Amino acid sequence: MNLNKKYSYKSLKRQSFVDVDAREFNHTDIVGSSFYQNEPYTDVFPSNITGVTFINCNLDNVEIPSGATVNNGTNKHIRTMNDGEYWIVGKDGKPVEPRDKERYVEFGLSIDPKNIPATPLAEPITFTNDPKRIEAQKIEALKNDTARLRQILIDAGELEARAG
Amino acid sequence: MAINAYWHVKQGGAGLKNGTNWANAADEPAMEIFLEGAVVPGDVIFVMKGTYTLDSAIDFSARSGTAVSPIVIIGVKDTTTNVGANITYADWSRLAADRPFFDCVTFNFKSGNYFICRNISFQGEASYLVWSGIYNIFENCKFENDNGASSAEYGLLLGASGYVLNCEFTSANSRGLICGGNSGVFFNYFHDFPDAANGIGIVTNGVTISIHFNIFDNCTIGISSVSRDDCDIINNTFYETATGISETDGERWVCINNIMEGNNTAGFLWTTQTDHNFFWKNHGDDARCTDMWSLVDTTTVFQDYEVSTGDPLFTTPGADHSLQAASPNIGNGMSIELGV
Repeated sequence: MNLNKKYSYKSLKRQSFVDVDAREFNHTDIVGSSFYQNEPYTDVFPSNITGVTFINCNLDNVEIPSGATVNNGTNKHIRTMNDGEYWIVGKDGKPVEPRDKERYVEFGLSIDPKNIPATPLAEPITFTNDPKRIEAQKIEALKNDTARLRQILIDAGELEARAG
Repeated sequence: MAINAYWHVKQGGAGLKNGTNWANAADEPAMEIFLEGAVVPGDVIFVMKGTYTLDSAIDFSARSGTAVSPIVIIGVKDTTTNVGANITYADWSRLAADRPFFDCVTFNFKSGNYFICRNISFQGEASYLVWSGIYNIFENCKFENDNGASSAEYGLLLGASGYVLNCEFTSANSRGLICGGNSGVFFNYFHDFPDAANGIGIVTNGVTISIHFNIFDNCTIGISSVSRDDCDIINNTFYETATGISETDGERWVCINNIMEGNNTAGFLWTTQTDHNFFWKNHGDDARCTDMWSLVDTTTVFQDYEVSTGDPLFTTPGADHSLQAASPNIGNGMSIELGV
């Protein structure tokens, strides 16, 4: 491995190196850095770099020049939609599928872009629909509902009395 | 605390990357695989100073510790040579410059229950950047949600019954901490939350929250709360927060020994006048905080009869909030001991 020490293990998100001399990158391995950009398909590196390998880097929203390869890490093009979550988007900017699709499927949420809300939600949809959170809210509500809690305890007592 | 095993993580990893010692330290991808698929109660993971870039969420919310054997992550200096049980407090990354840096980018760091995290800096722009289970403790960590676009994101979502101790929170465009019920927030530094809509240090997400001995510096709102009851806010300093504490109609709050200084909107703000709260020996006045007691009861027995006023005489306002010898607050507060 020809480790590129200058660009490895760095947080370089939202930065542009388009105007940097390509020789700083050529024929090196860049490891464990973040080059994330806010906007999908953003040019970050000189278009003429060659022999560059990105290993375990975060390259989301980064346009990779043809002279570079990506080895592990991530290189998705994403944007936050009205459901408060990151969606993978095409070059036309339209959502294709949720970045965290497994979580949507687990929570029973639609992964069809047509079902993205028309207006922004107050909180991310997977946060609202997280079963663990819903369960915690129910417990919290029960703790604050003294009348219901009292009834449950009475019912439990009756059951115990019957069992005894 | 019952220890199960020690794990070692360093930037780039080393040797077999199986975490058994520094010569075979895991890298970030190996750490993620371990946390999500293998960590068990009592495991202690030492992470050496370095940059750890996430390329996917680290989500070990399904793997919890226990009350006597929590899962623990501890940041250590990059000069550490001791291994496992021989690692000492002197090896810990107590200074900010020595902390490992988790660049979470757009991903969450999600823990399970009974998790302890010490000496780690987290930065990223995901909603609820660090998302904890219940009974978690974060100590000497830094949280910065650096969302590129202004939106209501948080550095840390603290689950119920958790503690945040001696941590730093900041964000140019998002929020700091949202904490669950029965949690404790002690000795933290919330600073530079300037966003007009989202620049909030703490948002309450439950009742009976204790917020003691913290500094809020340059926040749009120090503590924001909506209809949460039974919180105690003690010995905090609110310096140049537009509003120190904002509640709607929460009841049975106990606010003692707090200093409000240079707040240009309000000190204590209840949007609906609610009388069943207790204020005692706080400091601040309308001349220095615009509206020290906004819709807070100032007429009945619940008002703060022992409030002090004037310049609190910080050593260096905005930088060092210790008090000068002539401060009106010295010897004037209620004696408080932490029962933790």
